[in-house]
Amino acid sequence: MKPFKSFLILACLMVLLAACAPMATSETVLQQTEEYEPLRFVTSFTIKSLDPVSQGFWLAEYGVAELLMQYRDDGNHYPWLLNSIENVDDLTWVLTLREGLTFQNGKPVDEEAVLAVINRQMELSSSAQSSIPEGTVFEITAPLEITVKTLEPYPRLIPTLASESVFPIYDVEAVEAVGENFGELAGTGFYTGPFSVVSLDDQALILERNENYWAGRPKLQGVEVRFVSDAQARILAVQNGEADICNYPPTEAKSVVDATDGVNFVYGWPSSGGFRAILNTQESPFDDPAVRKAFNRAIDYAVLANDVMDGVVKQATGFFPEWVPFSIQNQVTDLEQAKQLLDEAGWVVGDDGIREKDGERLSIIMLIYPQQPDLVPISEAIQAQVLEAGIEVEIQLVDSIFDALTDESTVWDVGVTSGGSLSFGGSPEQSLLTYDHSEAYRNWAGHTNPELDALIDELAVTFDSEKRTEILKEFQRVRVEEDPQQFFLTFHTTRFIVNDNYQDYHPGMALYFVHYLTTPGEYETPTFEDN
Amino acid sequence: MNSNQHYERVEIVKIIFQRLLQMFLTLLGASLIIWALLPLAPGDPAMRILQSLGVTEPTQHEVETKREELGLNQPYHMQYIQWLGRLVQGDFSESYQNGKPVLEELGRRLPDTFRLASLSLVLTIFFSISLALICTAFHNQWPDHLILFLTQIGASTPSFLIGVLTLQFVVVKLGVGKVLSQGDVKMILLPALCLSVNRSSNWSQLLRAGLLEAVNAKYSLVATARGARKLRLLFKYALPNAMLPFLTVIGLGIGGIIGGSAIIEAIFTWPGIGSFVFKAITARDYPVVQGFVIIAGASYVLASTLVDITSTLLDPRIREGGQL
Repeated sequence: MKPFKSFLILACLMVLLAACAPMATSETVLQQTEEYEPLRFVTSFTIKSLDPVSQGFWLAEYGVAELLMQYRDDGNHYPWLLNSIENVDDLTWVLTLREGLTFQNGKPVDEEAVLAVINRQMELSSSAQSSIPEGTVFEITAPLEITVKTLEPYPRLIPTLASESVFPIYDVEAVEAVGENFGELAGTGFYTGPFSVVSLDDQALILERNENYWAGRPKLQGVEVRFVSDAQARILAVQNGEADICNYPPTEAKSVVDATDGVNFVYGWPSSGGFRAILNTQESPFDDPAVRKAFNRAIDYAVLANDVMDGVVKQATGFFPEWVPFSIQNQVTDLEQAKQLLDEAGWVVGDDGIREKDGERLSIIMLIYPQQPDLVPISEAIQAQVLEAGIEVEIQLVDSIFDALTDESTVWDVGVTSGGSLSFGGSPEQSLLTYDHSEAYRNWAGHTNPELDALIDELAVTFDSEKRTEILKEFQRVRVEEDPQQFFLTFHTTRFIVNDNYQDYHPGMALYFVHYLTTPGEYETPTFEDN
Repeated sequence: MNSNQHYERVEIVKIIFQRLLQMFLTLLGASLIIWALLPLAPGDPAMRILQSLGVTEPTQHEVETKREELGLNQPYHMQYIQWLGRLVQGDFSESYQNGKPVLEELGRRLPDTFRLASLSLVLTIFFSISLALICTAFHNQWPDHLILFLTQIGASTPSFLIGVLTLQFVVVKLGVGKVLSQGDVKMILLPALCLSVNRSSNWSQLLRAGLLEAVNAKYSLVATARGARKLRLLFKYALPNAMLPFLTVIGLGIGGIIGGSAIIEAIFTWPGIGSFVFKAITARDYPVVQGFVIIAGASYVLASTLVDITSTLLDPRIREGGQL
């Protein structure tokens, strides 16, 4: 029996040892040398293909594709691949390209190449089709010059050219040569950015330095973007030295990361996105403007941002984020005013603290959705806050907020969505036309406000920046102070978990995760004036 | 061939036919439940598919055309029959996320899942048999108690927790292996081990009970009386007898391993079906979830039927209507 026992114990020990043997030790982190090793991202979103029409926006974010204009940290737009953009009259724009631009494959980026992209995008891209008004004509009028003629004034052209999904500039000839086999585009250098695509599969996007980049030699040898859906695995990958930057970390990770050596929670610029509350004005109680205002005033936005979300989001002080030049901070918390508004509207506090009017209880249904887990603590905090004003909130989780709000059979009073008051390219009217206008396709409540409609319509055709600011300020006053049928609960910030090498990491405004000057440690942020 | 042999063969064929019929009916019932996932899910499938193809704001005409193409305007029973027909022809519809055929997407990832599931199964069987043999050999001694204690913990700990703890303490703290395995075969052992812990714990306890019963059976007593050593007793008499019911457990476990791999694949970034389905669940990509459930369910039912048939062929007691 003794040999048998020994055999069994030995066999088990061998298995355990074998289990550990083939594992490699974790890789070393970046070295601070002149030649910086590739920057390694781990992200939750998979880039599905190299099709520039449907997936080109991702490549703009990772330094592969570039746009004609850039939306920058100061909230303004600057020419990027363009040398200039001139508004000749209300219906005519002249775009002039930079001289000497080339694609990564060496072909020139001239007026014909850019016009080919515009035409192809207008034919295939729903983003381009929905952004550019019907009847708009793009034509070559001189070397490096394209003239844009619209049938009606279109001041949104500039943010449209800065929108990552509308006109990313690529080599149309190279793209059309591969037909539907977009995988064959890897290695063809069909974009203009500081990094070019080596490979793309289900696991990773691998990029290498574009040695001939027009703005200067990129400092990083390359970029690796690995697609990891599990948030915990992404954070651990940074902690274990397998990645430098984790994109889209969950908010709740902050306290753990703060207490862990070697990993850091850092913020990019505040995003234009936020959690937007939409009130259903077709039903009681929000058909009464006083209740809408009371609900808006009873929410403590500072607590939501700083306490509930631990400061990882920005307080919603108005309809637009504070950093936007034309924003006004007129969204306030005033519990007493909320109570007074409800008193005046005839809502009387009942025995259990919930108000009633004509036998109707002031009870509302708030819809949130699981894809945004931050909405759970936010909605629960709102539930507690508005209760003090005598408003009862029932929180309901729905699979898809868009489907729920679109479905006419859904019973709801407040729907919370994630959507900005500015488009990706920085256009305010794009968002207002999408959500706030009476005819907006995301005006799920069917709410109408002729005053707001008139302001949005006027904004859509106004070029003068001072006049635009005036209109936008008036819009914010009416929207927040008089008719808060839609308002923001918090504004998002872009956030990352980084290792010590990248603790000064600071991406650009419109999700430019990497550019040609990006390096570990401190580095310059490229500015338009440098180029 | 005498009449007894003839009768036995007829019985075997009858049992096999019954099992196959049961398998067919089970699959049919399962398909009905799986199909119901789509019409019960919120949102319009036609709209979702169009959006996955890049049509972000489909027109009413486009939606109606797609609905017609998918047969969504027909009565539910017709929709089910058509869906089943397409399924039999290998058409599992298109993913909402990328518009590609679901079968093609799952098929591309199947080899990685197969590798992980196979290794996990081998490890599970190895650990189960080894631990059960040690427990039996050292019955009521400290190795037996220790293994029982550890396997009870293993059996009650869900795989995802084992995976997360392994990443945190084995990979990050001890520096063994990588967080991002991403299909690297050198990194398969850790996820396979995590996937096997729960089952090994359960199976070893089951096999231990079977082995102890076999060791205490009369034939073992006779063998011992005839001078058989304990090693011979365990391997020649007890193990083969205890293995037959264990075979059923293994068969049923195969489907479970494929189904259970989803979360482990996601945690270890293993590029198999599991991690793909995990993403599909979070993205509410119902055709992919349907396709996965069909494959996992079919493999479970198929494995269980094969085990039943094998048991029938191996054990005359079953053919005679007895129980395992």
